[in-house]
Amino acid sequence: MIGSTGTRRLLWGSARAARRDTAVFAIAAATGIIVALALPATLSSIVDAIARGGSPAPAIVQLACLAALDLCATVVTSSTKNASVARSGAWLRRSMVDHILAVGLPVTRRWAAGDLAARMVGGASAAADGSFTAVTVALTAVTAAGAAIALWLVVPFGALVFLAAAAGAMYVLRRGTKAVGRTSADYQSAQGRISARLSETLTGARTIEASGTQAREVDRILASLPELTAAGRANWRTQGSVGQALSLLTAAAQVAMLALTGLGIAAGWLQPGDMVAAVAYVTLGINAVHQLSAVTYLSHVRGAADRISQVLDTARPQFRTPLTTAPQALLLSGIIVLDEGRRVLDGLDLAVPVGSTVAIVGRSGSGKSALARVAGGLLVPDEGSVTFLGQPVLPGDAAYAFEQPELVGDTIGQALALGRPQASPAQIARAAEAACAAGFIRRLPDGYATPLTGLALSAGETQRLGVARAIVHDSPIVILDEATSSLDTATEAAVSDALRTAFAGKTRLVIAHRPAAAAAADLVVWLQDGTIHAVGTHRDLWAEAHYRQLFRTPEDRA
Amino acid sequence: MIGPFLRNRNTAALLAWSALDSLPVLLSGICVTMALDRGFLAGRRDVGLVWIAALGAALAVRAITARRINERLADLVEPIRVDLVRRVVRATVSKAVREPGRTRHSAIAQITSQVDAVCALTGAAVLAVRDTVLITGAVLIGLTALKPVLALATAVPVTAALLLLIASLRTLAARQAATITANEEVAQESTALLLGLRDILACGAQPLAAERMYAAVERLAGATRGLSRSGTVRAAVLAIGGYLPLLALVGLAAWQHATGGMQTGVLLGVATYIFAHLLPMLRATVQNANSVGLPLLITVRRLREATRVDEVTSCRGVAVPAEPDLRLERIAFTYGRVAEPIVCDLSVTVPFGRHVAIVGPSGVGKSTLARLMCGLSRPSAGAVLLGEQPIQRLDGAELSQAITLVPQDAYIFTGTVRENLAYLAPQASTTTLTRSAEAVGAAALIERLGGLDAALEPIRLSEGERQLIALTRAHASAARMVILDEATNHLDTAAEEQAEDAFAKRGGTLIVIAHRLSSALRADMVIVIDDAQVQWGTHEELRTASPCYARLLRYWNTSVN
Repeated sequence: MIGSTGTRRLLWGSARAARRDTAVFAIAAATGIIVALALPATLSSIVDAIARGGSPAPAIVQLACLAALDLCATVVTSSTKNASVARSGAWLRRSMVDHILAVGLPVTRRWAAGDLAARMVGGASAAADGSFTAVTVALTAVTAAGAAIALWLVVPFGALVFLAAAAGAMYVLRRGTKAVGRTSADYQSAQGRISARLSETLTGARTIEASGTQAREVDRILASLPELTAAGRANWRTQGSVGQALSLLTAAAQVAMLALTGLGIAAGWLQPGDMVAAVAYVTLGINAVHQLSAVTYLSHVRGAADRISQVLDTARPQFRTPLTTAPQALLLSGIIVLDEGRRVLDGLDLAVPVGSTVAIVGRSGSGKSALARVAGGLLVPDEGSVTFLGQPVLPGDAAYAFEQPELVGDTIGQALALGRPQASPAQIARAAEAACAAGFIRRLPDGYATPLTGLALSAGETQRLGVARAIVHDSPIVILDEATSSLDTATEAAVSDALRTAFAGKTRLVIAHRPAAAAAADLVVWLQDGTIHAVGTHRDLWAEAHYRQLFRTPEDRA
Repeated sequence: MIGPFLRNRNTAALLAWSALDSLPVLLSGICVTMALDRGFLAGRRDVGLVWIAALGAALAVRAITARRINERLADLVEPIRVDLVRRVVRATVSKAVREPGRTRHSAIAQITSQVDAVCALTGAAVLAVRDTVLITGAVLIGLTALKPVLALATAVPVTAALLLLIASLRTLAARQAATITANEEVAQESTALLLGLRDILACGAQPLAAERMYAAVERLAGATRGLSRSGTVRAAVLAIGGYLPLLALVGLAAWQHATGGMQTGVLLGVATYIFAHLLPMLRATVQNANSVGLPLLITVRRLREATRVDEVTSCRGVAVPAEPDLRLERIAFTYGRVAEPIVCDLSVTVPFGRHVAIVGPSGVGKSTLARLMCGLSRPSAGAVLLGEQPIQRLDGAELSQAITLVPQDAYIFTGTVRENLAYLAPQASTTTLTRSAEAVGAAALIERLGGLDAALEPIRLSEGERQLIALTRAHASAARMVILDEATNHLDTAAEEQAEDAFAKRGGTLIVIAHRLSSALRADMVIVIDDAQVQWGTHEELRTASPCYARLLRYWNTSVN
């Protein structure tokens, strides 16, 4: 059983969001079923009235009323079904957005962006189908049962014929689903091979262009095409056999019903109208049984809801309360950060005096990045607190520049103003100038208005935009996390000079990988295994050989 | 892209089998009439049962043909699948090559699922159209046989209803397309949100991000509500095409029976046609129009857009000269109209066999210059000449043999080591490949991988190892000019030196876009680019003549020491 309490709560919530539409849908759909069950009986009584020479007028009026009711039900089911899906879907998606923004980074550590987006789009769509699908399946079962009862009322023996045919149809459908599952597995593996090769080819676009080997690549990708289409054919064959079996069952039931009612009419214990009614009920019932296979869709719905509730079940972080005193520093005390049981930061205490610059150095894996995230409120530590002037640091309180910034927004200009949407174009341009980004922005097709989609920026260009964004953000705390690592040394020096001016007077934390950055800081904090190994000025620490080794790049070592 | 398949002999075969398929519908009313009027109601049970058995036989035949029809359907649809997959692959590769970085990997999955959908939907659509046409035909023929006046009273409204459905398809399709677009928008926005989550939090931009997502979610909800129009169409089609003839039947029957004009069996037979076949067919048709027809129309349209390729006609050009000098004559290059130029009025000659390094700060357009030099990009002004010929007049296939550009991101594919190394020279011998591998410093790597015929899994290689393979591949090619575009940036300095020396000794022209300044020290000639300013000369000349070069040199020295 999949459904956890979270999943059930989620399905409940999304159903509640659309409860009015779903209720109207259920009423309309039930009306449609009543009409479907009443129509054969009405037609039958018209036939009998005419055959007996009586007046069919009341029954004809009834037929007209049923037709009108059916049409109304058709219109209402369609509109309420769509409204219900729309409401439930919007509720699910909004809940996810709210939760993801509240939880923050732990969400992206657990799920890839593509995976989460799939849950948000396809997953939410499937889960939103939940309420109306449940209603539909229930009503389909009612239809099958109703048809059986109606049949029993008309021709008692006919109900047995129906039950036999229904059992047969269920058996065929079950086997059919399994057989289709097998052939589609073959199909998907062939398709997977083609997609994988295509994906791989995309990584080599530049090489393929320069070598003129497009045609050869296409042939290589399509090597599995014969297997794909063979599996496709097998699929059609399987579907054909299922269709054949179902068609035989229905035919047998219909013929049996015709023969039975015919004999009954000849014997005088059935009316001519019963023939049309009996055949109609058996057909209605068997079709309902076919449609009951939609019940498998419910497990699909539950699976989708399950995947969404996994996301919604991640705990929201708790921000600590303010301190009673207001020390003039960015204060980290007793910080513990866990990653799958490992202590990434292990009881770290650090005070960065207001207006000073602290460089963090250490080998990879020593906890530098975690510290950078914790210090600016991006990551809430498992234990300990981060305060600035006594107030807890929340996301957005610190301006960050990352090693690999992700640009968010429609255009370059919007991306730069992410931290301060009200920034003027002049402010943005000044920041870009300081980050040595203005030159290449001017060379883009539309300058600052150039759309981000389809823009192939180099790592160095993206880093400079990230730095410019941090300047625009203009916060009292600045955290530079290897923010200029992809720049050549000349550009890096220019950017660093500009940053000293732009961030003058701010409280700065710099994750450093080059000696120049450590040398420029007031104080260097040397991290090792999640704790502070040593604190001092770059000049003092430089005396230690281990410290100097931190700055040797792999290429120098070789 | 589907049209031609609907006209071939598979279609004829499908129609022939389908005729058998509709026989039970045609016989149903007649058999019921006969079984009652001549049999059960006339006291002849045997005759009644014979007529029912006749219908049973027709139904059995239909059940047997169901399988055949699916086989014919496979004959019809599978060639479409093959064709579509080919088109998709060709278009995706060609687009990826023309606009690198634009094709997302998720797009592949999307297109593959669209191909599947088109195939499944085409099969379903063929069956649906067939059913609608054949059942309508069978019902009308059967009605003509039993009660011609009712055939007419049915034909007119059914035709009207079907025409109404066809007429409404365009609006319904537009609404479905709107929901698909809205869905994609939500997908895009949410991917952007999640990829940028760290940066959104860092900038405190959660309200902004939430607002954007909410807007996309609301647009999707609105588009979903817009689908309700189909319910009205469905009701109208049912009313006109199904209930109108049914009421006409009972009305006529009531009136005629009083005058003795309609026998009970005929009444039941006619009712069978209208109630048991026509009404369900109309319900199914409207349902199919919505769940098969519209998605098919939309998916085909989108696939057509996705696979549209502007055919590049590659006509044979002039032969590439044997040992050409490369001459850039007053070239300029600009992206778009308003942008500042990347290269401006550059003239430089690289004599054949020379070793050139291009240096400059990151992002000034060194790679663009490399692309211009091998004819992959065209200058906005000026000309690139190879020998005496403008480069774009040379034969394309020959040119890509003559010049090899090795980009920073090495392309390695799943296959054998040999296939990867011989990519640019499929006929290359084992000796050639081994020698090239030794020269560039990849011999140890290839031995570790298990030799030339071992299988290569790209994800198992580090960036540096990938570059070594790409370098060996270029070294083993027949190219007379090699351009290394930061192709050694993941190698350490010693390995880089070995690789560059191997290319310098290989003969032909070597152009190195330098990642480290040490590459410039090894070259015969250096080209320095800085903010659209280009200078060239030897290392010694430039250190005094170019302030930019001097600056690069100074920082490089301080970071090395």
